Amino acid sequence: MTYQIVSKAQANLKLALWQVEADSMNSSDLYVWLDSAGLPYEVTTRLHNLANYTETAGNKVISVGKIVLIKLIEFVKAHPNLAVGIALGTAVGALANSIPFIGFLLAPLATALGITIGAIAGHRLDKRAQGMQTSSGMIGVAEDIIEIARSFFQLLIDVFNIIWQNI
Amino acid sequence: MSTSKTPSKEELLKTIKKLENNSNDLVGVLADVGIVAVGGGLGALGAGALATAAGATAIPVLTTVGSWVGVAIVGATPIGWVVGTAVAGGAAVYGVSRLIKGSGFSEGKKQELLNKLKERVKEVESKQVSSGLTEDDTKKFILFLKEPLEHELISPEDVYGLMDAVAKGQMPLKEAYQYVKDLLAEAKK
Repeated sequence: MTYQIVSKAQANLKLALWQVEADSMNSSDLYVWLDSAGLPYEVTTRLHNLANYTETAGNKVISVGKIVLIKLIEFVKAHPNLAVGIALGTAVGALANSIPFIGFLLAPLATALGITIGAIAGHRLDKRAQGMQTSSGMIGVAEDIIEIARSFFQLLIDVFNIIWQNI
Repeated sequence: MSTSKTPSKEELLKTIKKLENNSNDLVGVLADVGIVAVGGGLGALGAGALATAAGATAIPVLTTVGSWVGVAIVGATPIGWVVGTAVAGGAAVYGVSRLIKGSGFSEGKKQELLNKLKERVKEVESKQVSSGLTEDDTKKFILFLKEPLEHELISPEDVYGLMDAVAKGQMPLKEAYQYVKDLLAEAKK
């Protein structure tokens, strides 16, 4: 499924609804989930810190970090058979590459999650896009996960990039 | 948003129809689609941060894939947790391009809806100043969503999100009208 946000109004509405969702979720609930997910302490802390990041859109303050965190958790929940570390790693990698203004926030996280496999697979996907040959195997699986993450977050990526296109 | 499943277009239209017929029971009707409304026109206040988390979904974590990258993982995380609608990121937009094209939606109809919207926004604005917004105003907003939903100018998921946010008082009515107005104005450009 490749849906594309086509209008700014649509993006505004989506963002407003996500903000409502973020408002109804308190930070300690998010922390409890992160803490119980069995992630390394550094990752948990960095993810939790992410929740404090905000941006303004028009005259509103948007909890960008919290929205991203909620979406990350949704992604992990939507793929219960995928290890949390791998799901988060690929998701964070996909987001950091696609939404420029949150890249700096996510980069240390990506490192902490150790997404080397994801990075190699991403590189191979790019190569294939250029018509070059790549082999299958374990890396092939990682490539699939990256593609899944990209399509899952496409809406979020589109909305953020439409609202904050000049950041 | 606290439900894990967004009702379909038909279910939402049915709910709105019920609201038309059963004019006094906003809370009861919305409860059928999983929205816990806050009575007394709270919609106008935009009182955010209503704790809506309820229910419990376990997050089973398989360790098989984790083992080959050396990620430490616990067996399972059975924690009470609801992360909002099954908006599920990318799968959510319900083919916006199709929505914008709409079905059986003429320029005249769009103008009519926009005019209605303008009237409503004015009414809500003046009432907001005098703090006179009531549950009835919330209901009028939800009823207004019927036509855009029928003509597929707005996705069932967004309609549900708006109904939920307004009924719980998490989004001011005026703002909600504005979003719908912008959507309609952009439709069929």
